[in-house]
Amino acid sequence: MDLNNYFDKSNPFTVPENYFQDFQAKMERMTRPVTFPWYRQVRSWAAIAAAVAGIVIGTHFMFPTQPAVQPLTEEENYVLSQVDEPALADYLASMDQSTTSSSSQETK
Amino acid sequence: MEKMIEEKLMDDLKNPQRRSRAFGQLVKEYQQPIYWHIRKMVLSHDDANDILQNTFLKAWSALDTFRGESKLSTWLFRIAVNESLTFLTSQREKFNVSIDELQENLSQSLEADAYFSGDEVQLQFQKAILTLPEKQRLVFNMKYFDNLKYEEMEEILGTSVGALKASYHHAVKKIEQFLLREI
Repeated sequence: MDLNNYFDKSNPFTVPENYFQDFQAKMERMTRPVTFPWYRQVRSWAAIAAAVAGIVIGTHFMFPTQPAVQPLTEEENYVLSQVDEPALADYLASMDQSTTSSSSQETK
Repeated sequence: MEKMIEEKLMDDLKNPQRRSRAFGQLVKEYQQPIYWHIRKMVLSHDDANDILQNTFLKAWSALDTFRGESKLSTWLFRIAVNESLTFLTSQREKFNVSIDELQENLSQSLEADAYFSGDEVQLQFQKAILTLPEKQRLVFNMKYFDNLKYEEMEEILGTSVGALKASYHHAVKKIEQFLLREI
């Protein structure tokens, strides 16, 4: 048996009427570029701007910025340079003692 | 498709402004050969329609990655072949049947198909083709019905020309044996 001579190669399958025209039209609809009218584009930009503003404001309230530490003046620097650390500690301790003794006398 | 027209179509497909229109041309040019190729694999018109749609939608979404190393037709056929094989595998898994059972189901549905106009001999011929393993069926259909060159089939299926020739030869022998038994 020789297949090439035994069978005709005509197509035994069929399709519904206008199938290929309809399929092509369907594919064109499915791959058509989507264009939005101008007011929809403006609306989406407005929505993005509002969202960004919301994030910025929200962040400001959630994480308030700390006040920056003021640098020392020349005068303060000079005073601090004249005092050594142990002397400063003694001074602060004596200040503590005097305040506690004066407050205990007041209570008596 | 002529080389010049194919090159123009490829350029237009890469251009975002002309892409949609060019894709319409591509569908018009190739929908029929690709449909018939898919239809011979899955037999049912509804299934072939779904696979054809998936094939073109996949091609549409992969246009940016198509480098033009092969012909557009080869690329589309390759997508269609993969989609058809994936469909047949999913059918087997969905109904939990073996390859033989699926082929038997396809054979029965062919007899009741409103869109099959073949006579008794053609029905037997289709049943004989259905006895082949899926990939051998692909090779047989491409060579026997679509008359593709082995080199083109090699590009589409990724199988060497020698292996394709052997596969076709075995397919013809199996079909002849089936028909000698049945007719």
